[in-house]
Amino acid sequence: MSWALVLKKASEILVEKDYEVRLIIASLLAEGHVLIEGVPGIAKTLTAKTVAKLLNLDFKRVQMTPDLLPTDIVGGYVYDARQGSFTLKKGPVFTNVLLIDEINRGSPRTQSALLEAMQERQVSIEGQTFPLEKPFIVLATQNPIEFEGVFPLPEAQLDRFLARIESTYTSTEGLKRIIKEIDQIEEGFNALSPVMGREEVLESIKEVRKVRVDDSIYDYTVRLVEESRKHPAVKLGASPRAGIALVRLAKALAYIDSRNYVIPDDIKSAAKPVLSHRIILKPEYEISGVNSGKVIEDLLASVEVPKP
Amino acid sequence: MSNPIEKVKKALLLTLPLIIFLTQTVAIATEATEIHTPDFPNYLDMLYDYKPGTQLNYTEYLQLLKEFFNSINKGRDLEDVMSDPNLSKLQSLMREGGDLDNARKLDALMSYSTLSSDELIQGIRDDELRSLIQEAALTGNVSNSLLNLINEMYSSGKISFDDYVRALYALRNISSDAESRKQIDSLLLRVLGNSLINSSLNVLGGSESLTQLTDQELVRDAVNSMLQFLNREPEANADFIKGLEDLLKSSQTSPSIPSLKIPSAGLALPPLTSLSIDLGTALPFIVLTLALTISLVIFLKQDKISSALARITPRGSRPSYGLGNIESRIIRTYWNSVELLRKKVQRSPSDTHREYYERVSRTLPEADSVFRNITFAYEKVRWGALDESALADEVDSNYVRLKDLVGKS
Repeated sequence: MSWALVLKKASEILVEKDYEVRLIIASLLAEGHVLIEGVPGIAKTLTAKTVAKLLNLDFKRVQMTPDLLPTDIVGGYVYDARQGSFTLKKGPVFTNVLLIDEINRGSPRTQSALLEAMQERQVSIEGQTFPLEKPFIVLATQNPIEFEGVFPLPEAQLDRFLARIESTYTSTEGLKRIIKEIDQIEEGFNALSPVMGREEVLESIKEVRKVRVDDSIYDYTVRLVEESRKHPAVKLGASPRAGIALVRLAKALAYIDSRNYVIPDDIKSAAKPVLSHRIILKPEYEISGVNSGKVIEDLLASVEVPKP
Repeated sequence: MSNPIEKVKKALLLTLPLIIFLTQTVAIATEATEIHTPDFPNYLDMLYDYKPGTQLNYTEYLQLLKEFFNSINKGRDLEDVMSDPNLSKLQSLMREGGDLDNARKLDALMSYSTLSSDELIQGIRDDELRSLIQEAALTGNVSNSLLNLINEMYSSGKISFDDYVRALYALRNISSDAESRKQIDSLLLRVLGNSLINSSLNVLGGSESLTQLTDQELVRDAVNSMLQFLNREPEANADFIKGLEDLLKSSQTSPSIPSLKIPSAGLALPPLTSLSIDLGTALPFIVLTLALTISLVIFLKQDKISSALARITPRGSRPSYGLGNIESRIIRTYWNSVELLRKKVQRSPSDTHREYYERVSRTLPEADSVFRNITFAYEKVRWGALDESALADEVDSNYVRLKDLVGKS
């Protein structure tokens, strides 16, 4: 299956979003969810919609607000006056690609309901359990510079996201291209036709699981996870779940790269998106400007890759 | 990696030579009578052993206090007191003595005396007090009960000093009754006297300079005049009386031995003129400073220096690539290629095979194609567990070509 074609088609619509698209697709194939951090107006929604459209997947978007209730996301029973009975109205969570805009604006209760759906891949309404359709990926966005009127996600909930993407502004040339070609970009998006379908995505998910991982790659992953706990700037290092996520995302990245085996480079590529939101730094280091990205760079530069 | 040890090392690197340099330059500045650059503010002296009142002219301050309180005690009226130029002098001395709070109070007392009733009332912040004064302004009647109420509001802390003074001045302007005005004047004089006494206790209390004054009689006279003022007040502040009595006692005892003063040479910079030092004298210090700095740099950057030296010196022993039990020809050939290229392009233990290939490609573009083939064959065999039989011969031939290329370059 040509994932290279998906990436190519996406790059025709999205300007300088190859890294984001690649990670979103890898997370989808690794059955994980993605937290996208970035300021407003950098095509986060368009990226998600483009991926959904290219893969012929159902797409829904929810704008989080403090008064949004869990039922607004998972759905509930509503009274049907004509039939004189309660009928189930499914919420937007019943989709393939769910974009949650500004997840940290939602109340902790609503965030928990959503994160439960992400983890269990099923929702309970009035005591009845409804499995979510596969594939299912949540792309949650949050603005890193907002501190007022938000409910920051606790560490335990951040850990549920397979990857975090720091989406940034485009380059000067990229910005010029966006401004100049916005009409063509919009037309291109509307005319975009799927490259593959849901069944092929599900098949790819199965194949990703079969990607070969050499034992020394597991050793390398373990060393990275353990070293993350020993770094002087780190208060709380990577969890075992982080180690699992690292290998899962690396397998998906290898698969997108048309390989059926993982190489150390895949682990290195997965390290930043997987570990950056799971490593908690000591306040004194944070104040002095150290961030998790820097710590991960240190780890990758100090941990020896497997030999021979 | 930015860790505390690194930071300490950096701090040492930056500060040690500076300290050495400054200490030595001070030591050779034989006559540091002027320790500052010309026109540099002299209050830096105060930072060494600053204490409020240290730089004050005590004789002038005490003289003014004595004269001022004596004049109040003789029954001067409020307007006369407020327009006394000595009051402004006292205020500036209070500021010099570090008592800004009472200096500000004195400022309020003097400046509000010139304002109209309306201006004064508008400036009152407390709503209740303002409405009380506005009512009094309508009737023109200032009763004793109103004055008592305002006094109570002030003493209980409900209204600020500013509001209190504004209210008294406003009532003074409103009142047509001479008796009421007299009462308000005495209240304002009490406020003024208390501020001055409070300030004098702040400035003079515990001051060593006071006991060293030769004219101890002046101290006693000034304190006595303040005590006299307090004694005629119906509700004199007991703390003030005690404070003044203590001052009186200290002025009657013999002056204490002056405390030992540590010379304030420290890290003070020599005057610019003294920078024209003899080179012969300064040379040993400069050499010492340079030697220490170079040693520190070598100590801190030893890793980088040793790796740089490693790059320019002949290769040492071959690093271990863990090839002990490896039978694969391709894997062995790959690491042999790395060993071959190591002379031109260093490989870090944390480098992956692809990262190393990228570096080789940039540094030795002529070897790009052959090393690429070797690298990707290695990748397939090592990580993909691919059967190497189909690739081995090609890799061998690439290795031979690589040897030629590296040998030529």
